[in-house]
Amino acid sequence: MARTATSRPPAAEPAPGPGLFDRWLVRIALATGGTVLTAMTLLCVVNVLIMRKLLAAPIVGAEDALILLLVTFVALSIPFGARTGAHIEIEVVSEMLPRRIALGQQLVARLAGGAFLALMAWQLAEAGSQAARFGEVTQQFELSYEPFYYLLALCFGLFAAIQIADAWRMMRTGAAEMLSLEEE
Amino acid sequence: MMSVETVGVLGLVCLFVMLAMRFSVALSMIIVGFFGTLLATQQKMLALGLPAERAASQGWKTALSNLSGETFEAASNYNLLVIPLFILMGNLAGVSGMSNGLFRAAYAFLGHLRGGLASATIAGCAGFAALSGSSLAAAVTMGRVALPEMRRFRYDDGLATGAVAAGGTLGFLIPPSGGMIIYAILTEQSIGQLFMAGIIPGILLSLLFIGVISLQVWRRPGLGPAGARSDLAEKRRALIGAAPITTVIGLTIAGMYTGFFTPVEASAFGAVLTFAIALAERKLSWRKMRLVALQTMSATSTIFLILIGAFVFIPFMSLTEIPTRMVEFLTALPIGSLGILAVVILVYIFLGTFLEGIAMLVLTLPVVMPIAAALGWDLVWFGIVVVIVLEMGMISPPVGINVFIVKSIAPDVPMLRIFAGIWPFWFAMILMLVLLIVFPQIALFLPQTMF
Repeated sequence: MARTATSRPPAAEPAPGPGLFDRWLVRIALATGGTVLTAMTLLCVVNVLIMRKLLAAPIVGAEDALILLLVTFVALSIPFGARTGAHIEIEVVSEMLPRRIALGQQLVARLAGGAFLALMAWQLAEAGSQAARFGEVTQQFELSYEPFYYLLALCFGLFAAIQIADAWRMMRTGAAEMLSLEEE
Repeated sequence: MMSVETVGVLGLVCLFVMLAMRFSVALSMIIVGFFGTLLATQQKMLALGLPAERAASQGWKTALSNLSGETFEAASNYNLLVIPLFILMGNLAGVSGMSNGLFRAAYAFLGHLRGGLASATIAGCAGFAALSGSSLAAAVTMGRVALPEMRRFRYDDGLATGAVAAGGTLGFLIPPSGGMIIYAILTEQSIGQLFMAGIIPGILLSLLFIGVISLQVWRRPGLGPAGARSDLAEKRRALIGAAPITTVIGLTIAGMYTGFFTPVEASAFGAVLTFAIALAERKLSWRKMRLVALQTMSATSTIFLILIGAFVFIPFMSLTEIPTRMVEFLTALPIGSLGILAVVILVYIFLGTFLEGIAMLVLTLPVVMPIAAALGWDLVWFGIVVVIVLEMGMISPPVGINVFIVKSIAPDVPMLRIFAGIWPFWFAMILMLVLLIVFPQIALFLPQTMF
């Protein structure tokens, strides 16, 4: 799958194995994301095939649970995607520029992106703290969205940190290697 | 004081500068959408006579609330459950090699014909497209199987690579399609109807691709030599081998068409069925399941972040009234509805030469959608037109993503040779567009008859 955050695949190059942070990120992604994905899929199938079609007794609150599982899965996926280079970039212009200028551009993009994502994380946390006041709850069980705002805030915060770490790596080595899924 | 239109134009300029600076497409849209909303709201408040301080405060309030509200709205949209679940189904089919069965079956029936292997590749891609919403995945999966075979039979490199690159684009048109899901959400159309609308054009385009291959080998037989003829037993074995994949495709599509499943339920059912078949055929290992989970998370993150970008950016565009001005400008031109459609298609073809498909979709829809709606175009039909034009971008130089995928599988084939092999398929897509414009029912028949 996608190896870099680019609109085209990069030239093949020998990549070192994943570092400590990436190894932990993969473990956490697998444990949490894998579990949520499995739960989401099974709940949906069981609810439609067995409970609704066969027994005519759909699980009450299944839609609530699916929405909350989806928010969790999306939140967990976003910082993981930042390390696998899943977020699409347009390379056409930077490829025509001298290497140093292109690197400078990417540094600015990572640092500014990281700063804005930190603002976004803060705003999501703020919105979470007011979710109860604005009656932001699920439809059937009226469960508060507050913790899920906080989860999104946390994951966007992690995304911001990854952007800054990428910028740091670029400054030190001239490139930010992405995590290769094929090697996993 | 600036007009909101000026704020809009400045926002678009900033967006393109940021894209050129390699900000990710999603982040560019989020950042421009945020600051654009702030400025546009502020200008509107000033125009209403509010003092500067209160106008600025209102701008910040609206922009911040929009940022968190739209992000949560995108991440908690029930209909968007189809994205991770269909991605999961496609990834399971990909790693388990289930799609090979379809290629082998098509080869058993077509392989003895000149160009038969290339035609079987197209059929295989169409089948895989019905399991996966990604053109990239279709090109990679089928390319790895079909390209070595075609080279073994001394197929012309241009024809072989062209068939894989063009066949891969079917992943975007034949349901489930990631592009269609995004289009449906952003234009508030039914995902199920769009999926149904893609089926007949998808089959027709596959046939047009096969027609293009036949025409080429008829004119120059050396391009695609005939392979060995399969006997009845081999054909039967090949058909049995393709049965699992056709079962999954048939049940999910028929389930949606008959109303037995909603698209969300069909995606979950398809994923579980694909998993069960792959497990029963002993084609899944723990390592492959890990890979599937991680690939699904990565691809989900791509699509959701870009959707969040679109969700934050679209309200800004609405505030600036640029789409309304565009509609006024285009409808005032003496070229009629068809002329405007031609302009829109030409702009898409141009943008497709350097923009990635999904990025182009979310960047252009905020402006193009109001035009389509104002001109009374059926938005389901228009979605199929847009998807086909995006597919053309995937094989257009210089940034045709599928071409780079094919190049990574056949690194010794020069890029120019691959692009030369692609042109006939590109013209087949133009023909498909013409057919869709002349006969809109090609796309609309199934959505109008579904339950």
